[in-house]
Amino acid sequence: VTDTVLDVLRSPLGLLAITLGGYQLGRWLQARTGGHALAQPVLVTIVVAGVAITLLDVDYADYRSGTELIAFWLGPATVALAIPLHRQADRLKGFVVPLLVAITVGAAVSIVSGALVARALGADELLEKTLATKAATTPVAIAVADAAGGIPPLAAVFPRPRRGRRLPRHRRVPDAAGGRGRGRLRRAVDGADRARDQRAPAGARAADVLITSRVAAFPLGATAHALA
Amino acid sequence: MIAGLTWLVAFQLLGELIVRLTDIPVPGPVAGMLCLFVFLRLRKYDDSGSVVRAGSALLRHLQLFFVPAGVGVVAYLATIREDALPIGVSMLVSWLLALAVVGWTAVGLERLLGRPRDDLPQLGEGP
Repeated sequence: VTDTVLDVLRSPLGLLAITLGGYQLGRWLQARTGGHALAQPVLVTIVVAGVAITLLDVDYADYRSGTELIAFWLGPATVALAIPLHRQADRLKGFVVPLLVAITVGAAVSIVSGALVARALGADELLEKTLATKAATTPVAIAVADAAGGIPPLAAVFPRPRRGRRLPRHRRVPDAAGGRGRGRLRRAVDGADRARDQRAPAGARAADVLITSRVAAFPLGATAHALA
Repeated sequence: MIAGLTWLVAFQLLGELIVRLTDIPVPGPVAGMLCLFVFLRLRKYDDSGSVVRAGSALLRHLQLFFVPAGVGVVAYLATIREDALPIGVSMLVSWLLALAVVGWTAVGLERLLGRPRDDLPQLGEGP
């Protein structure tokens, strides 16, 4: 009986169920902890699935092909990133030049500094290429790491500020006095946090800069690769 | 829902075709995203369109789709342990630098162009 149960768990259906179950657990934990920074559904799911395949003695390659049904939707979801871009395009009018320049400079800084620091501290070329993708949003980073000869699974798990990240409860209420006496950049970043989480109009442009910069960082990664 | 998903897959297919035909070093879904963006701008789509509804539904659970790739980290745990220092420091430094540079460049250019559209002091005022 035990063998039968293990066999079913090792089947694509079992692996899918474990992954989806882990994701639900992660969402439940996030709701229970009021959006604690460590209670990221994706982190919980990866830990649950990682432990499960280790215990079940399933090869990663088998897990990857078993859960292809989930990974497939990364493509259409990447295409769908055009939707938030479209929604915010009107708000960006008149800000296009500073935005594009800032994104280009920021992406270049992120790529170059990431790769150089890694090299200075003794990382090999493979790791350097993987770290260089960090500026892009996760689905794009996975694809770029793949194309540039990095390590896609690592590009997927290296932390970055996420779209739609939930704030701790005490930070969710907009605070009218919050901006006073603080640096402009700091206010912009705070505004970006709030706008992303609540779709609040104030500071939303800063959110656009941050979100769009991650979507747009890919051509630089690709160019860096082409030049390397 | 299915109509919207069909559109998304169709745009991904289009992107894939463009990438293969032109041989540009960009992932197919990213080219598809740019095509969809142009399409949405031209058609002035609002939130009721099927593409927008299906796409928003997918984006709500974007994290889930990373998991199969992310679980691969178990195969690279040794790499991470060996190179923990370069990985950690490189991520921290490049993140802080890029954040500061993007912010400063955008704000600085806005001032330079003389058309400051500063909505930041309105922080916290309701819609």
